[in-house]
Amino acid sequence: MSTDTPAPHAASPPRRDDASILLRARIDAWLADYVDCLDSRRIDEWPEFFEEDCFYAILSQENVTAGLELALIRCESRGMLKDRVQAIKKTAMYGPRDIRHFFGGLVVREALPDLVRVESNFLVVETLNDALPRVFAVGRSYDEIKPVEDGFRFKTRRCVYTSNLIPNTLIIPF
Amino acid sequence: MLEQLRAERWPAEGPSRVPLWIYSDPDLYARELGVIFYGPTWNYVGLAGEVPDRGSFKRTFVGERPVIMTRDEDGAVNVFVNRCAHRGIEFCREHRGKVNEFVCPYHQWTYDLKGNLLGVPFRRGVKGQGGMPGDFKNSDHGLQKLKVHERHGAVFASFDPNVEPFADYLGEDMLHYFDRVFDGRKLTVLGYSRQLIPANWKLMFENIKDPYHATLLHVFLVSFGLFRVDQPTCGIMDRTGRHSVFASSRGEQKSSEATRDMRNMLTDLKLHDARILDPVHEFPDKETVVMQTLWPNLIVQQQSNTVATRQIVPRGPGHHELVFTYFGYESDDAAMRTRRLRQANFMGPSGYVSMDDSEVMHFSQDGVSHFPDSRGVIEMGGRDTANTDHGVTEAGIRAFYKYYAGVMGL
Repeated sequence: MSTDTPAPHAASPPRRDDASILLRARIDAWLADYVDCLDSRRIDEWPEFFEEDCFYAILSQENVTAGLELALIRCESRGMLKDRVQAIKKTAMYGPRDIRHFFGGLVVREALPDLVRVESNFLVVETLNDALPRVFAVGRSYDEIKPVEDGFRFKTRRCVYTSNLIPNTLIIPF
Repeated sequence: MLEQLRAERWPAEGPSRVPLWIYSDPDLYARELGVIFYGPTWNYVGLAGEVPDRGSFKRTFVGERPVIMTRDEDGAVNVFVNRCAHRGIEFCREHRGKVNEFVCPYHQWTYDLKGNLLGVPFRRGVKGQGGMPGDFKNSDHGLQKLKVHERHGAVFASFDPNVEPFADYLGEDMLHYFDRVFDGRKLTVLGYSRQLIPANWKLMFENIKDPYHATLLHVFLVSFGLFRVDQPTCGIMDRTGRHSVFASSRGEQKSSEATRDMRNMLTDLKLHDARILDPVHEFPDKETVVMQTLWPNLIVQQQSNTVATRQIVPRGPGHHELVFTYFGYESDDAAMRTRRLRQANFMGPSGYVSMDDSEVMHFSQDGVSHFPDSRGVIEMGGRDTANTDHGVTEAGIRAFYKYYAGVMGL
């Protein structure tokens, strides 16, 4: 398990061949399913998007830049993702909210037969009761995904948010 | 007229009642900044290890005021205001870094690592024109310096040069618990988290003085035995009531007489990956959780192996920023480091425990703001302010408000 912080990538020549475009489209569709799972309150299914042996973290840009490993949410296995789900559903107390995740600018950095490295920007919009929607977080996710029979699974997912400051409480993962 | 009466009086019942206007009144808030944060108090500003080398700096806050912590040529830690002596510019914008000197971008006034003014462009004019008056002295125009005290790697600062000595300020009992975590070992910063909580700063400070809520609100803590009312717990205040410690020893995940009243206790809850609950005993006493509040802006958190400072930065009467600095010790091995990073899931803006608090504080502020003339009832464990050997109490909150009312002249 790697806990390296994401480093800036050297620009690789963009691949425009049909196979690359198809791969990107497949991943894009799969990420749309991932976001749909989070936004449609099907948080139970969230861990299924990950390998059993996986690493998931939400990190501030401040920590990443300073080479510090501390994460807001850190899961070192699918089991820990399930424990996060259990906390969200059973133990945590929080007010009602609507969370919408938006991702875009998907880039395939490296495509190996058994591992694909992708990056995309994310935007999270939060709407609390009695309040207007607000930008909750913005940032970039650095993902290593494994092609499997019915799509893909995250091997690692690191979401780096740029604001450093969280508007109160982060309940639903990115 | 009503405003006038409010601003001058605490309820006659004393600290077993808290008037709700103190959480939202802008005039009182402005006075708090002056009397408390910019007055004779020691404010936590950071860890000495955050400024390891000559020229290292950290941008931080005392009250709402931006200040800079530096390490100078002599190896000493300095704290001065982040406000140019010329026109008031907040010139330092980076969280951390390393410099030889500070230069204000507006007119390039230059300061050394102690905050002394080194130079002013065109001081003697250009071609005989302009320039500063002949009696202008750099030494009259340095950055405002704060008094600094470092203890075992934690740095405190005060705007008041006459603030009492740090050890006296804490008192013997608080010093004992402070030195338990800050025991002289070199600290390693693991990272930061920052959250903007839509609640008055006092709601955060008193939350840590309140073990009553911890055993009810925090289902995660209770269900996994990390803190529970039927565990050995003590509440200790300093002689003034402004600082406090709540300490407890971990128990088992089981039902008891006490847990009958905890409607949310989930005894059948199991973790899929229990590595998060794999604490290692590392402090000399039996306590497994010790939460210390040090007036006016610091919470020292030790829950299992997650150790952090929580710095309170007030942001107006209705908000505060909470800056967590998680750390370990230089002597930690890789497994301990990972353990601390893992247990950090307990705390912060999405912590299994802390997220309940920031949510409930939001609810608090929404309630108290609209009922300024109402009062909170603080009677659990009686009406006094004495130390306790249990957690079924709000004595810590009462002791705090007794002190607070005195300081604010209410």
